Amino acid sequence: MQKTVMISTRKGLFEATRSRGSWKVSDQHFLGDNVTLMMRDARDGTDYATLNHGHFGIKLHRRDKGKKKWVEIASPKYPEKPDGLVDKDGWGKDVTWSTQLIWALECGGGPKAKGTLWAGTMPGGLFKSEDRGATWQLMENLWRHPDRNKWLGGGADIPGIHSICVDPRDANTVRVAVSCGGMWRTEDGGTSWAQSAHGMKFDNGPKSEIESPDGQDPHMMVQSPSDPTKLWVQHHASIFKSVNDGVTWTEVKAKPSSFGFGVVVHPKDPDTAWFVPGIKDEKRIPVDGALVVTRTRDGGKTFRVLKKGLPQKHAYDVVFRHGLAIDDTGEKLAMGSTTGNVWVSENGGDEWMQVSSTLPQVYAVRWV
Amino acid sequence: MSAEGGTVRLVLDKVFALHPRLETYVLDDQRVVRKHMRILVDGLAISDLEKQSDAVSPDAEVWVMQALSGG
Repeated sequence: MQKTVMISTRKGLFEATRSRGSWKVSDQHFLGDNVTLMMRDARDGTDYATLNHGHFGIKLHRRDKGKKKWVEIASPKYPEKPDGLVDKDGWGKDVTWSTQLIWALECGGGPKAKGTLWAGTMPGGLFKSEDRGATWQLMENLWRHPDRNKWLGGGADIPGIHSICVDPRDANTVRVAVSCGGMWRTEDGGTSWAQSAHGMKFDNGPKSEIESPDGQDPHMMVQSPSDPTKLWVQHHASIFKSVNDGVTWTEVKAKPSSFGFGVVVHPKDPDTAWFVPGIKDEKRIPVDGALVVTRTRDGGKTFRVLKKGLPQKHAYDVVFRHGLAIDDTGEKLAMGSTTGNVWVSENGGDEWMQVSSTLPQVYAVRWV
Repeated sequence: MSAEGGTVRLVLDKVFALHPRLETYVLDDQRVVRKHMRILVDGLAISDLEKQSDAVSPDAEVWVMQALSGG
């Protein structure tokens, strides 16, 4: 059972655990450093943490199971950009072939693929490691796909891959979501890639752009472990779901808002998912200054607004896309915000307990 | 430490050979000087950030510094 929340923040990686009836910050790593993601590989118990030093670039650290010491390992690295190559993004700006953020880090496959990891980056490269992060290979055919030049930054200046879903039925099928570049799918381990955001749409803009899959901005994508044909996306414009392996998507509306960043799906129920709504889209704060979580248990037909234990006055917390997490039972949730608040729910979001109100800006939470 | 080389890049390569992890801290994936890093030769900032071809005389002093920014 997962008992610890790992909290990646602007100023370090923190652990929270339950003690005598309440949740508290109980340990810390990389204090002062900008930790953007943390991931535990359940297959061998290895921990990984991604750091963005700013001055010194993006670094990846690894800690073996049961050990205290983190060791710096290789970071995904772009190949040498060919001389004279003109490579522009969707805005027409030159693409810098250098890792500027590791925006997604996931295990690749089951026990047979032990040590296989995937990393999604800015400016849009997808990388795979088969040796626990000692070396990384760029997925060249996605990077060199001509439609990659349509990708563009949304809230960030440059495009990036923030969601990676390795299909639990077949590890050669991988889906990645791009802000902004839609959703891309391979069924042969990365040799060929196809756009798969059909049905996602914006609610405003030129007609040719609204439904163009290449420009879609899925903020976060998750795949149901219990029924992998079903996927959820929290999109820039709304919530979308797919019931056919992510081939097509249909819009789902929620109150008080369908805008947000994060989404998690229940590990044993594909129709139960959670979201953190905000005012769309230039404001990006909770509606009426009241922080709530929305939950559907019927595949998006209805939503329940969950607010017990969450601040309902002058709360301007934003929960980033990796700032909402669910444990492997589907009962416990964790949530961390831009204002350093962290909450845990032990009953599917019905009630929330505050872990801290004084942490640095939270980028990501994970149960381990 | 001391390292031989007629250009900043050659000097850096000597240092990186001894400390392989250091390279990614100073240069990006394309071996361009990271935007917050500053390299000076005898007190003068180098001009070729892409290839670090600036000349280094045998007794020159090379400084690699980073800016501090952000909150």
